[in-house]
Amino acid sequence: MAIEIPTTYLINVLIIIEIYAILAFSLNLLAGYAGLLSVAHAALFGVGAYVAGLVALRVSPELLLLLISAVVVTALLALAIAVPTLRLGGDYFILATLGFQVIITDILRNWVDLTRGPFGLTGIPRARLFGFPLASTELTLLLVTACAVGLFLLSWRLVRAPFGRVLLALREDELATQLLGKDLVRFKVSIFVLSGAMAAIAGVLYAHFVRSLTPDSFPLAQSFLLLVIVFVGGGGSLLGSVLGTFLLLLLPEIMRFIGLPSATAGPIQQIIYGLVLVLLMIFRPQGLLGRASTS
Amino acid sequence: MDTLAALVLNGFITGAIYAVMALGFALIYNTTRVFHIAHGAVFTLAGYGAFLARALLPLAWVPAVVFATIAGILIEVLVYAPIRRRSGSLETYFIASLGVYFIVQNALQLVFGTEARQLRSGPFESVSLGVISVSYYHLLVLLVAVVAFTLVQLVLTHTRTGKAIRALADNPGLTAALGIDPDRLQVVVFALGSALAGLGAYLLAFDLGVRPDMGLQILLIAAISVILGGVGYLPGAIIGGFLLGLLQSLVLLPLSSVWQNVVTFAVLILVLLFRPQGLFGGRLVTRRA
Repeated sequence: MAIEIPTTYLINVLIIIEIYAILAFSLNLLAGYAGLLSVAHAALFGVGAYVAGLVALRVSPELLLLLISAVVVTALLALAIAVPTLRLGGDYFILATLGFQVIITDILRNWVDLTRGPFGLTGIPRARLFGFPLASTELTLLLVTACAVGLFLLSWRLVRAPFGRVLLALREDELATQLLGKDLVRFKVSIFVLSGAMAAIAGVLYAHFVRSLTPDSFPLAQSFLLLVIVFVGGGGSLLGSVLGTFLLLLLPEIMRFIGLPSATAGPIQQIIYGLVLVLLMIFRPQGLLGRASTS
Repeated sequence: MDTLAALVLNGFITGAIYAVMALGFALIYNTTRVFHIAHGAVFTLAGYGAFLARALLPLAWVPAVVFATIAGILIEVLVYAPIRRRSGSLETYFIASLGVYFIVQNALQLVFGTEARQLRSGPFESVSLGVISVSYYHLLVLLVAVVAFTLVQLVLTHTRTGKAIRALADNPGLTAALGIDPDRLQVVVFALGSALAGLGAYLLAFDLGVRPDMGLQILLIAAISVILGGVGYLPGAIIGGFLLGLLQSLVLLPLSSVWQNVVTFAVLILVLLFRPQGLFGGRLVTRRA
């Protein structure tokens, strides 16, 4: 018995997976390569999406304008987070970014005048490229794919450039990297801002695609999920992040086809995520495609 | 004036629960350096332990503590110890702990549903003391907190195991050299810290009931209390817990409750920026935290 899967459904799933893939490999630059476990990635994604949504609603839905405004605002915010927190080591950095995640989403929820609070932004117009509306799902897929591939190639080049090797060295041995004369804080801040800017681009695409945003679209759980994707795929492997995104996002879709009621499917899916994480960390801490740490 | 007194009392009581939880987290964190997110899961599990025994509420702390202790020991033995044997990195523990948290929260959600479940109904009986009224719940929280702090203090200063725990927190390498088995000791630390989480869960659930997602919030508060008070200094965790309880309560004077989390985390970030050793760290701690 063949199962009919409507094409629009497949395209929608693919768009979401590509947006998450951007989030995952951009977080990997930070968490996997530089060893900086940020729990604020969903919040930066959310800020990018909200800026794009607000600009599209109030100014103009011109794509370049959306991209520029979202990237600039999010990058500045990332800079403001990075400069103080990146001096902190390990657990403190995790906790500080977690703090920013909670603060940012609470502000999105409670700054009612700007964000319309818990109701969120609705009726966001589709983005336009030089006045040409990107109205259809197919065009959206094209746009998202172009961005995902472009950002992936950019990240790919980056990690193979000297910059990327410094990041890896940083994860392996901070002190030795410092002794080689590398300005650690500058490297860390750059990668944090760059990673945040990529999350903002993912946010623009998300706002364009779903056309309505609420603060609950970017919860702490999403930041955790992104870290899960990165470490299942493999810290320090960009391809691993893409693979991880496919695996972890297709799981709920598959469970929907099995016909589990959503009240049961949600928790079961999370339990499977949890088990996979624990088993990976015990038996293969480098993830599916990651390289084992040499230290 | 009445409002202020009531807020201070409430903050103090909430702070006592935070302090119990923070002390448990601090014991584990100081000794093992595991950022034990799953401590939140232990807390939630204990809350449901108390919920199952709600018919006999005065004794419901027993299943809470038992559930918590067993869960804490199992997490250490089944998850952290194998990672330690492969000398896992900081993020390895963090991610594994997060995984455990996911598993427990969602398993509880499958069994009990997402909505809050109450352990009791109706208001507490209270006696009026001048401007404020004190309920028997307030007295229960204070009693349990004082007993818990005293017991932990006695264990740490008067038993061989307790002294070894303090030694391990202070200098793991030297402790091993003295012939103390750190693996066994870590199990004891997880048992003790988790038992405290069990008590805290009982106290919180007693008033507010239980929800599958109650653990993460309280875990974060415990972690912030520990940092506020100073990592490596156990009384700091207790003071940090009380300070956070009072702060969260007094914030309600000028602000709506929706800003409570923002204020809590803003305090965390400010402390991390300007006094990463905590309010009481550094002065009293000889070893770098």
